[in-house]
Amino acid sequence: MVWIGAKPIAVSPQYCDCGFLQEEIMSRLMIRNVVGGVRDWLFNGFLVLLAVGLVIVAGLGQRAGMPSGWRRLSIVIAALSLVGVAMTFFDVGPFGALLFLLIGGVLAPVWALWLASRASVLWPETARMAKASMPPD
Amino acid sequence: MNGLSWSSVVRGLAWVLAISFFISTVLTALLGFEVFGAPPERGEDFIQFILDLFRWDYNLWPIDFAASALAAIGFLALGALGPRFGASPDRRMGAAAWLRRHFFPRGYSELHPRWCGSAPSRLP
Repeated sequence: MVWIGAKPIAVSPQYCDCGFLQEEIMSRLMIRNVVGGVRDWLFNGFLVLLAVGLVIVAGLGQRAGMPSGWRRLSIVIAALSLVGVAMTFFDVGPFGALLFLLIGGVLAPVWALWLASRASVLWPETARMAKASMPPD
Repeated sequence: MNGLSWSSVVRGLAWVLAISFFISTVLTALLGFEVFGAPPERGEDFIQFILDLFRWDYNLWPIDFAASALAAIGFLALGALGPRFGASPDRRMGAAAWLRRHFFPRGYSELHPRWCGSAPSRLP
């Protein structure tokens, strides 16, 4: 959200006619870089929280009826998230982007869809209650 | 909220999370691998280079905006999923109790009951 608010203003092609183009350009460049850094570190914080949350949810989910494979997937995503945070401290070339693709584009959607497919198993009492309250065909 | 709503809400949030994260990641990857065009080369005039860079960046803004907005939607959906786990029928061990048992020593959790979601059983 920070990026959405700041970037279009920082890189807008409309400039002041006051004769200070160089100063304006440099200040905009600095704002863009600072906001980019804030965004990256907010994302790192999200990844750490995601890892902690997934470790918690993995145990809760399995106890509530999710398969052990889903628990292992949660742990793998948590571990890879922490690896992603660690990668920001090193120059790893395209591996950071590939890890991002793996987590956000493959593992997290699979995790979520797996959870969606088993939602009625995790809340069976309420699902049965709702089914019973439905009028008969 | 009745039972059908709980599972429906979880299912809906999970689908929103999956779709938004997937599309956001794909768009971000396309931007990162410069599929829509490489940034301008740096010449001798630094200010002109920044102007060209901003123009190039601004032209890609719709894609960047879509990726950022979808990521934000996915984060919101993921955050909303957390309390649903607390409402799961496995009430023998809620999230707070699990956190207390696995992450904090007993004395620490009693010193900070507010963090762990329960009142202390005895004063420290």
